[in-house]
Amino acid sequence: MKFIDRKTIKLDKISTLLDEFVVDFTKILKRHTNYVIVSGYVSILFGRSRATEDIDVLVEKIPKNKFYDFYSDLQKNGYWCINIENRDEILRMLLDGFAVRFAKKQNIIPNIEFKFVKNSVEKNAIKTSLEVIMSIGRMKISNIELQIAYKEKVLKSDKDLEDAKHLETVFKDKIDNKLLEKYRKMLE
Amino acid sequence: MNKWFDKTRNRKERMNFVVFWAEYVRTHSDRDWSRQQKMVVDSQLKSLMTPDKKID
Repeated sequence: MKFIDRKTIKLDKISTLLDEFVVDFTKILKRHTNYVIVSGYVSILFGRSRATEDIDVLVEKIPKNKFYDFYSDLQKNGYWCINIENRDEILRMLLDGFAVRFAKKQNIIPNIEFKFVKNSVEKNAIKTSLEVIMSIGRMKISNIELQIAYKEKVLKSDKDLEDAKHLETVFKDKIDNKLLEKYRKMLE
Repeated sequence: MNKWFDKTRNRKERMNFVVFWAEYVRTHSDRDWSRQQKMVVDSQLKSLMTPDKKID
């Protein structure tokens, strides 16, 4: 992997089924709104030796009509919402702060856990996102320092601590340590 | 501590492997580590997608 600039990473990996699923979904999503991928999949993208059943995606709030267009685009491309089918109810759940899950029709796993940003940390994740370029496509992920700190200080399960350690080790020559400490303090 | 299973030790051993593998990822080409990762990720995902099989 190679940083092309401060906000872009080129990754020459042999893609997994998860990578292909995420690229396929975000290709649709980016036509409608800004987003960022966070949590476990970010570690998996950069080599962690485990799978996951869901990919967490934070999305900027979009107006009703734009959301309808997005949902229709998803359906045309073979996705369904696992929670509920009605587009108004999906939007209501999202506006109430809940996550909804989208998967390929006939499937439940893997799925995208999709939610609107609702606090300053999540807004910051979108604002400071990185773009990853692979041969199969591009995607936006949370910056590495924020991912490490969030997993260490907020999520804290064994799996999250292992994910954080993986990222910290893989990016040890590239991490902005001052920024990482700032996030650690902010999230304590 | 459980007589049959030392959770603290297991956690430490798991973390040691995480660091070992992450160092491998850091110091080898993307094609090299991703070829190995693909075997793990794709097979775990296929297991998860099969209802009668479960993984930890």
